Amino acid sequence: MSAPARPAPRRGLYDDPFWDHVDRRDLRLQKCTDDGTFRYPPGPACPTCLSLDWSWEPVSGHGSVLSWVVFHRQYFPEFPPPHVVVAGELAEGPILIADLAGELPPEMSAGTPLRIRYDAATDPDGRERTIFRWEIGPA
Amino acid sequence: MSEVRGEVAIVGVGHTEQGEFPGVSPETLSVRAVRAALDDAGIDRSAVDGLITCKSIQGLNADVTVGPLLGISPPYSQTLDYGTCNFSLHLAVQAILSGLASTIVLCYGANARTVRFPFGAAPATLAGAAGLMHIAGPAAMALQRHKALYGTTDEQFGWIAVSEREWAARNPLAIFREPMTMDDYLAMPYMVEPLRRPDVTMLADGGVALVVTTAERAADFPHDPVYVLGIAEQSAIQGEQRPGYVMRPWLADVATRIWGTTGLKPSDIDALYIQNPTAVWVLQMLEAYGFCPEGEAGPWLAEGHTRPGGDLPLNTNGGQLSESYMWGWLHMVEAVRQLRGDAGERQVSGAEVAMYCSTQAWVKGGASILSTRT
Repeated sequence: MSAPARPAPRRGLYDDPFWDHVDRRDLRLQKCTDDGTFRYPPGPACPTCLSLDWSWEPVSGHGSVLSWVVFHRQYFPEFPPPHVVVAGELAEGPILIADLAGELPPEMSAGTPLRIRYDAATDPDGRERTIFRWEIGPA
Repeated sequence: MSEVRGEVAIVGVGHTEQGEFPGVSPETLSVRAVRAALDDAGIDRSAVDGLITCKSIQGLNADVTVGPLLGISPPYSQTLDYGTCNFSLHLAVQAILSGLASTIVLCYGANARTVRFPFGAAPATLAGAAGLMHIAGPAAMALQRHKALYGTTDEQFGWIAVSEREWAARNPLAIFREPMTMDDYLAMPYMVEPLRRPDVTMLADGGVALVVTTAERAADFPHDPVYVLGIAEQSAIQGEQRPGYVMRPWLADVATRIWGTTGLKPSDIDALYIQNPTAVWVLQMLEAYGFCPEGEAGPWLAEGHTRPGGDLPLNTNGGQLSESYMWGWLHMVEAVRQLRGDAGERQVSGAEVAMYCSTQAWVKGGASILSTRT
């Protein structure tokens, strides 16, 4: 059985390195060379100090729940209900939105610890790639 | 005090029927609404020296496509990407105060229902890649966080949709008028939990238009003028990684400005309008503008303030949940009707001051306060 189909993420000059790292199961974000701030979404300037210098640095993959939703209707063929999407705040600061791997725990709340996990998936054009999802996990 | 206060007045409102009108373009719906607004104002298009159109949700309805249909080339014309009518009114106020124009028509037209515009499409972002589509997705995120932080219940939140339905039953223009009790509401399944279907607007076809002019000229029009007492805005164009995420704490900055510039306070508002593609916007703005304390909108709503007969009539047209989508433009029309005393069986007795609060989703907030007096 092939890996489940997933919508293609936005690609481009600044997004490509993010997804290329995800493909290697290595979550990295842009880190400002001058003030050390991690940022997402990817872009040419540090929103904190306007520096134009950065490097792609690994992040912990740990975070905590800001909020979550459960889709009870199917809007996209790739996401049959119930489909849980979580907004998680990485320990490094940026907010990453991803679906939840596994069941929604009844005790889910703002602040519930999360960690990133990787899974195989297939793009609409059939290309194999890696996706990341949140799962409930100790910090 | 504000230099805007009492300088500009709304002297005409018009709109089409609301629903699904196959074969009718957004621009045609604009023209129909403009005709109705000019009739209401008792003027001919030759008296108009400004046109501000609002792009439809589909990106149509630019001034250069509406102008030929209206057969006018006014000295001043402009098109806004921002919806809700608040930002259009603010631009009209600026144009009038600067002398660029004196009598301006504002219009919106869309046939998003007929063309099945994909309102729920997934954006090409991280959220979209996870299936979190506009607009119910992030709105549900905001509601879930409100519930997690403050203990807001489904029933408390449900009073927004139920209350708007009660008002809509008194509005012949409203699309959804059949009764909906709290039990009916709670019996409906979640769509995007914690949102149910009645918590989210349904796109419709239609058009809306306003005629705005100087206070000096306003006395010459057939209806009593509805004056602009103050306007305020706050952008949030920094993007989705702002502190507060979907909670939009920057809405409180619009509130600070609008109360500061008008010298008014929440208890001065006789009728309140809050743009609501989802009921979550109402929850957030009631708190941001100080109509109830932060985190307490749920219990406050359950006390019935916003329902017919309550002490803060809210979205007396039925709002975007029960009346029609129209990107919030009909809220402004309803505010004018209430202040004129023309709102029929939903008339708020003695309404003299109305407020309209709206947002361009995650990037901008705006508010206007209108009154029968300067």
